[in-house]
Formats: sequence, structure tokens, C-alpha cells
Amino acid sequence: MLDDPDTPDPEIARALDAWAPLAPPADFADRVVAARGAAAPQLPPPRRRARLIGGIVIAAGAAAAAVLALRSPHQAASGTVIAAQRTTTALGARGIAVAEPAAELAWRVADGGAADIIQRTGNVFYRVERGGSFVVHTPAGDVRVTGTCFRVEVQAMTPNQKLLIAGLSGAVIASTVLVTVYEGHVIAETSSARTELAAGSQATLRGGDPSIVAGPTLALTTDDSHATRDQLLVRTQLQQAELNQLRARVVQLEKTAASVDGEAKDVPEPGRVWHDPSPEKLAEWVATCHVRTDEPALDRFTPLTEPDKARGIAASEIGDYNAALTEVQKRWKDLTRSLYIETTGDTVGADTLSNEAMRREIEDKSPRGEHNLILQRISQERAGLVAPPADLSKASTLERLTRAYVQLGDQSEAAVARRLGPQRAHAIRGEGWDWRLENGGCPDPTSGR
Amino acid sequence: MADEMLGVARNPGRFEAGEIDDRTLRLASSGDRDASRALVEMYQVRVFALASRMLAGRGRATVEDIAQDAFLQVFRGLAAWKPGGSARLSTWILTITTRRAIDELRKQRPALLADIERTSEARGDDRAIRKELLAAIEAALRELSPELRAAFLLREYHGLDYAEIASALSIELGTVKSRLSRARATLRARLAEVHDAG
Repeated sequence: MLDDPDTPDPEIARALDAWAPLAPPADFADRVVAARGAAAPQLPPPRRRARLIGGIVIAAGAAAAAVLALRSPHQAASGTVIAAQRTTTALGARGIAVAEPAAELAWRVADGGAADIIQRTGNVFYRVERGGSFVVHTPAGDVRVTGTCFRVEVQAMTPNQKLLIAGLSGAVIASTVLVTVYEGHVIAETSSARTELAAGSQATLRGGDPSIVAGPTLALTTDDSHATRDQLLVRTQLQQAELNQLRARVVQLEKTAASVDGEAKDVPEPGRVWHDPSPEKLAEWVATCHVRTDEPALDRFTPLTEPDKARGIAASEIGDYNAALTEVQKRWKDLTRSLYIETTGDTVGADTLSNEAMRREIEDKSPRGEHNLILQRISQERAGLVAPPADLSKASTLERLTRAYVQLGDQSEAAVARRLGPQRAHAIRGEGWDWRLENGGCPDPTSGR
Repeated sequence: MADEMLGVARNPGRFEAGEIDDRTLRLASSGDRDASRALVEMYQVRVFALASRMLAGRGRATVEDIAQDAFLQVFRGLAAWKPGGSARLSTWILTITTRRAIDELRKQRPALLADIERTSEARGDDRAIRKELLAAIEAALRELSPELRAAFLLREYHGLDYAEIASALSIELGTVKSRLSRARATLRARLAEVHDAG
């Protein structure tokens, strides 16, 4: 027999009163407002954006795609590193870790791209790409990366430790971690303290002491208030030399990282465009369930108002080009909306949520590991090992969404071809549409799926 | 150490009241930054209170993520919100927070983190009696399903009535009452264990 839940119970009341919740951080409202703004960015038209980001379009596209449409590539990956020598490891698709000798770390990238790294000891350089949370857990506290794109370094601290410019550094001597940031923002937190660090700032986390000691910025390493001009000049020269050395080290580490980053997937094959890999390459990708996709940033597509020199779209072609992509964009949005409603039953949300948000909801509602199974099937189909399904009506909403997404590039080209002809459409697509996604990761054989 | 230094709310915030005015709400709905900030500041303590208790043991970062996601979802749906209707805005916001927290609880937590979280928990410097009570209530709530936990917290800390809880959790009114009774019974048993051990 259940009692009346409203019957007063002093013992329970006392226990409830003892349980104080967490308070929001002082800047929480500002962060939410900023995130709200970021969720609906006022971007320039896609081609202009592509020119602005130029050489990083591949990385940016891949990173954004994790937010835009599909789960991040190489999801649900994990591993451990005990470095006997400098060891470079790709952390799923979330970044690169360059572990120096004696460094130990264990890492896991979950569905959706959230990454957790436990760094027990040693010096590790991290380069982190956008997409989900990225937290480095150390014995003295956590370092949480926020923002868009970062380079992070965790380095063992010695008594004579010098300041580092090459990223975020943490040390694990007597459970002490030194955190230095040189690009972007990170949050350092212990069991009960938390501080946000901007580029150029430092903090020290000590094991057993929950407080965080904020350090000086790189430009204020000593008290300059009583220094003579000559002293300041000497100090500046020393600092400059140190910075140059550290910058050189960053370049070296970056080269090391880049050599394994994505296994050079972005390098075009001779005689082929990026979005048309060779049969040999497609067969090779089956082993990693790898699927390459490009699409013209349809979520943020806005019609051209002037000729696009980069894609070679003349003034006389603007109308047809805009009509073609607008048509594909509408079909894509309609499909996403219908799949969202089918998945959630939430018609109100379908009227208020962005396309990106609806897709995230579909992914969240899907069984764990399903996305990997879908990628596996698509990679096998593209390699000609299995036939594509004739009927998708019984397929899950996530499968229908994913299959539609990976066809957006070809569909967009076909839509342009219907108006401007296949040759012009192919030329306009060029080496690929603006968003380029390398997606992969096979099902976990232990998951039972 | 002061509670503020610990990042812990001084006031547990039981039955906090107050709603934002309609004008600020309209401005926030239209995207006004100051009004949006005001809306967050109005409800953030309640959202954190609910999220941190729902997600006890998951860490501050997770709580902040869920709280932020909840507010972003609020902003996305604000245009459809009808001021003056039967439901309070705070109830709607807590409903969204509850659903996000339940989703989070259903996710598999990374086993990699277990050691570190135990270390963190061991660092607490609360007084012994408070720790016992906290341990009892957290242990009791961890035994509950996410929905049961939500029903209990919404009732005990946020003062939602049965109908509001039923709506928030999409369950029948009678189910709310039975769930609350079970939650209290579980908690009472846990507290008895604390006393017996003492």
C-alpha cells in the first residue's frame, strides 16, 4: 500500500534541505545568449564563405557536418596510449594527440563526437576539432575545451618549468597540472572550483586542493612595475627567443599530427575529383566503413546575388543555379521535417526547430551504433559488394536521413544539370561542393548489433 | 569555504516562484539579447537545481551542458509559447530541462570516468552528518528510474502540482501519485539505513 506522497516527513525534509544544488556560473546567461546567436549565424553566402576559409574548407566542412547533419566520423571509438616514444594518435575524428615518451592516456569518443580523455601522466599535445564536448581528465582536475577549434598541449611541469605558448599544458607531478592556453578557450575545473581560461592565460590545479590558482598571462610573467628599461629589453628579447622556439615546436608537432590526420583522405587521386573516388579507394574504405560526402551547404544556402567567380557561375546562370539548389534545399528540409515528426511525433517542434536541431533529435532517438551499421552498408554498396536496398520504406528514420544526406551532392549536381546541362553542372561542382564530410567508423563488434 | 567558492547554491531553492514579465518575454522571443539574458537569469537557478539533482554524480560540465541545451530549446520554442495560458513558463522550462536530463541519464556513461569521479567525490569537505544525508538521498534517487526521479524532484524542490508533473512527464495523474509514494518510500528506507548505521 502506497502512502500519501504529501504526508509531511521531517526526516525527508531535513535530508532534502541538506542537498544544495549546483549554482549556475556567473557568466552562464552570457554563454547561453552567445550560443543562441551562434546557433543561428548570419553567414555570408556559401561560396563567399568558402573563399574566406580557403584552405581549411575540408576540415571545417568535416567539423561542421558533425553539427549539421550526421554524427561525427569515426564515432564510438576508444583507445589507450602508453608512449615509449613520441606517439601520434587520432582521437576518432575529434582531434590529434601527440604523446611524448612516458605519457599515458585513455580516450573515448562517443556517438555524436563527445570526447573524454584521461591523461594520467606525461606531456601530450592536443589539436581539437569542433563538435561536441572535449574533456581532458587529469588527476588534479578536468580541462574542458570550449569554442570552435583549438590546439591544446598538456605537458609535465618541472620546478623550472618555463611558460609554454604551444597550447594548453598540464603537468602531473605530485598531481599538479599546469594549464596554459594559446588559442581559443578552455575551462579548468576541479571537484569544486572552475575557471575559464582565454588564450595566453594559465592556471594551476593541484591534487587534493580543489582550488584553482590562476597564473599570469604570457605577457605578464613577472612584475614589471620596477624594472628598468634595459631589464625590460633583455626580458623581452629572452621571451621572444623562447616564443620562437616554442612556435617552432608547434609547427613541428603540427606537421607530425597532419601526417596522420585522416590518413590524407583529402588528397585527390590523380585524374579524379574529390567526390568521385576510384573503385580501389571505395573497396579500401569498406574496411573502415568510410563514406565520403559533399553537399552545397544546403542548410545555409542563400541564393546568389552576383556571379560566383570561384565556381565560374556567370550572371546569366545565377537564376537557374539558384532555382536548382533552392529546389534541392526544399526537398531536404521537407524530408528532415517529416522524418523528425515520424521519429518524435513532435509537430510543434518541427515548426520551431532548425533543420540541424531536428536531425540531432533523430540521431539522439536512434539506437546506439545504428549509424555505424548504416555507414557500413553504404560503404559496401558503394564498393559494389552489396546491392542497395530496393525499398527503403521499412528502413529506420536515421537510415533514410543518412542515405538522403550522402546523396545530396549528386542530387544538387543533377538539379543544376537539368537547367544548365550536365557539363556545366559538373564544372560548377568542380572538386566538390562546399561542405565535405569524411564519415566512417564500423559497428562495434562487441555491441551485439 | 564559502558556498559560492564551491560553486554550490547557498539556497537549495525549494518552491522558488516568480515569472518573467510579458514584455521581456516577447523581446526575448524576438531575439533581443538583453531580454534573452534576463530570461536566463530569471530561471537559471531553478534549471541548475533540477539538472544538478537529476544528474547527480555526472559532474558540473554535464549539468552545464544540459542546462544550456534546455535554454536553447526554450528559445527555439518561445515563439509558440502563449503567455497567459494555463501553464507557467517556469513549468514549461522545467519540463524541457527534465526531458533533456532524462535523455542524458539514458545514455551510457563512459566507464573511463569512473575512477576520476570516485576521486572527485572523495574530495568533498562537507560535515559528516550532511554527507550522510546527501549520500542517502543521492543513493535513494539513483535507485529510481529517471522518470521517477524527475517526478520526485519536481514535486519536492520545484513545487509542481500533480497535473503539471503528469504533463511534464506525459504520464497519468494517478501514476504521478504512485511514483511519488514509491520515491518517498525508497528515500525513507535509505535514511533509516543511515540511522541504523549511526
